[in-house]
Amino acid sequence: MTCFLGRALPAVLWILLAQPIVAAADVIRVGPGESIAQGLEGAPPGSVVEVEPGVYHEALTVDTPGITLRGIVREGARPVLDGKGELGDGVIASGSPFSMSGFEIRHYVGNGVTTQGVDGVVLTDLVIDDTGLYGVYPVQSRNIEVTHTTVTGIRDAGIYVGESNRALVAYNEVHRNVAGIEIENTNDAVVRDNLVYDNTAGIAVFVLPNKVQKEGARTHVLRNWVLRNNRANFGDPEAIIGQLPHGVGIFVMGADDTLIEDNWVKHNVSAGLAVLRLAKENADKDPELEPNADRTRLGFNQLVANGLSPHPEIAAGYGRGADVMWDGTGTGNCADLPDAVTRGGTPLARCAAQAARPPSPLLPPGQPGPSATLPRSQDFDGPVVRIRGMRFEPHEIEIGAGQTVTWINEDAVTHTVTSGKGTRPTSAPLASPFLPRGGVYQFTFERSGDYEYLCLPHLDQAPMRGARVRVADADS
Amino acid sequence: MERVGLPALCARRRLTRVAVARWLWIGAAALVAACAAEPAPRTARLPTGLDRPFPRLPAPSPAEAERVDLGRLLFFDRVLSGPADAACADCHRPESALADGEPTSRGVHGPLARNAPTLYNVAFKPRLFWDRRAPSLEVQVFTPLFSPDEMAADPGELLARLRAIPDYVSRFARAFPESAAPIELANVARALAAFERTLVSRRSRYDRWAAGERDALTRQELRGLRLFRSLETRCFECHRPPTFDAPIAVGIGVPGDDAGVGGVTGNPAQRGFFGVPTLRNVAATAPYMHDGSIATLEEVVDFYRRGGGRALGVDPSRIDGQIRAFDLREDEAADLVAFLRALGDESTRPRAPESVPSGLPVPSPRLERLGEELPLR
Repeated sequence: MTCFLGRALPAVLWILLAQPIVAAADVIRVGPGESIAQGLEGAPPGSVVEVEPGVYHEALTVDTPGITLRGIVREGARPVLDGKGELGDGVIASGSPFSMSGFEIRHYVGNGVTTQGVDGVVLTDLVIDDTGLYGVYPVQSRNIEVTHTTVTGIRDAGIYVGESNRALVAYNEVHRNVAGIEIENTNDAVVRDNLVYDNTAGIAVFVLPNKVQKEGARTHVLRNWVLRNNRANFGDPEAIIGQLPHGVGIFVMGADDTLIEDNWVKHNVSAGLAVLRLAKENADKDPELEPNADRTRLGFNQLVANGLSPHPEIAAGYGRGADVMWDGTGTGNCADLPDAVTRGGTPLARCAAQAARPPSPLLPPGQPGPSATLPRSQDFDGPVVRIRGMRFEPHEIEIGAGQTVTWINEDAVTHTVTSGKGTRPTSAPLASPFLPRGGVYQFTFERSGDYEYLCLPHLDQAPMRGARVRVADADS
Repeated sequence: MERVGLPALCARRRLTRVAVARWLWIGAAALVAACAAEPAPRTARLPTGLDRPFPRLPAPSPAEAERVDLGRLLFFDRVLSGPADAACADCHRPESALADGEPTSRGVHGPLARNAPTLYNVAFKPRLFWDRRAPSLEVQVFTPLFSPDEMAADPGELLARLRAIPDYVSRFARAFPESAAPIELANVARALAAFERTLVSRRSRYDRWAAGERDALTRQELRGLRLFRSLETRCFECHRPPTFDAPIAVGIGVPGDDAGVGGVTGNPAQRGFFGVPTLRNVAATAPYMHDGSIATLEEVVDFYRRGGGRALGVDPSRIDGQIRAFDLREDEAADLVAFLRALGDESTRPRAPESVPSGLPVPSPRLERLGEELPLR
């Protein structure tokens, strides 16, 4: 024991005493007439760059870790980053962590503040107007806070959190934008206590196709004021954002496990709350993306006079505007709503006391199973082809369109399931990885036809090629 | 702008703490020791936020070195092709950054449909081919090998040839000691894949800059890097550091009939979509795009500046939403290209072996273009 302490104590003390040293940041001051970029240049990690009130026509890049960019607010005056309609982005940051506060940012063509791949983002007390596509854009980042910030005049989203994880968006005032707050392909965000009004749409929790992070889940939207988001859409008409119908308070599109509660949602002319799947033409572009909004829970929200003058597209799609809209897709969506609420589309079921989550799938496609105990045919729905004794069993099968075939490698050697004619592999549509013993590959045949396949490593052996799945028409 | 070095802070703190309590002597002693162990004050070498880890590679096999050596010989050996006249290295040429400098590669029956991509950093790609149809390097190997338009190998014939070459017999045995009959197609693929995984490019001037060598990039290149990350160009959204690609399929609207990913999935909504190629060594892999239809980097930048295929009459539903026209001055375009040129690193460029076990001539493309066959070095 003594020996342990003797060894451990200096180390512990060193750690304790080292803390203040690490925290003792260099402070670099920048005043009017000076350049913030110059102040940032060569600032060591952990520096604080303090900027006096004044106007700075600059585009800043922060690649050093641990930089705090602190605008000094004095008697209501704050430093202004002004792009004058010429510069692209106000701030691009890649260093982790990154903090910024106290600035006004205006008239940039591209974007206000973006953090790219940053772990630890703190953006607070910013005033952002007219900065192009987004006001604040943390992307591919994690552990994010955007608070006490005002964003206006943005032709896409005021606050846009994209492909990120763990974000807090709170106490912000967001108005006169196309979208107020957007949480896209992001997990574990909390959007609370924001004032969101006079945008085309208020708050959106959604997924988009062809992103690396394929899901957006577990966003909690609570205690926001979401009022008269009825502004005519002024976004790029060719972009997805430009197609957003005006008058929607909060919507969930394709994201999962979203909880929406205690919001005050009033006078949004198309819909107060909407739950829908990603539009088919966008969903089709990315088969790896699950386009439905699943397990959305609409808790107790104050819904007042929404949907009274719906955008024509909403009126056409749902027959009317309403406080709550659901397109009827997805599983496990539910609502706890007072009777006075108007409903459009398919009515949502009342939430169970504890909404159950579905179990995870038994074996995802292509994942090898345990090698000691082989997966059993009866573990899978639909036909199973076993690869054993250097042959496909059965060599040919007939199925109906829409059925999923499972291949299990029971041999000690590696096999593949690969489309090909004779000895010529084409690798489409069947293209398994190398399957070790116990490896499983699944494929769902949507179209009728004759699918010939082979095993790449053994296509020199007749029983391991010319295998077939014949898919009959669905109606035959 | 006072900047205090670490030892100075240590010393100052020691004085105050020591006075506080006796037990802190131990702490102070530890602190002094730590200060002494600390290297001299900070140098200019401070890693940036772009000093990011690459995706992890699979654990090497116990015989990895033997597999790599074997894979390298196979890569350069024309015995793999049916007519014994084309090796992997004929379309992935070391002196062309492991691409081939042609718009589309030349196959047995004339030009192929697509541009030969560089093999640098294929180790980090979860799916291979422009249309992303192969789920691993091992699986990828089989397509060019057996395609009648490319290497046109016959599987039985290929194995018979390899088994008849004593050098290969012993090399396969050493590389795959666990196999009873080591010369089999899966092991050909594994050896080639092991070799390809050594073709890693991550020591460019950009990487040195990201790791903190502040002079490694010029002012112009740094301006280009900023443009690369801007919300105007949005290059970074798909060409993500550190690999400068992304494991996704997107449409940018290069005109033409190639269905790309849509041809593999049968999904009409993905028609004309392709995998995102890496920009590592991009300056050395002209021409560009899946069909090699754009000759220079300057023209590529111009293509994107005008909104990709949007300016060329391509159906906008086939073009990703992030591909939009943007304003870019001539000097800015030059900055962007300058940055792309800083992504070059061919330090793992493979050396062609002086001879291969088959005894066939080793690819020496420049000379063969002249129709000559000369002994190597």
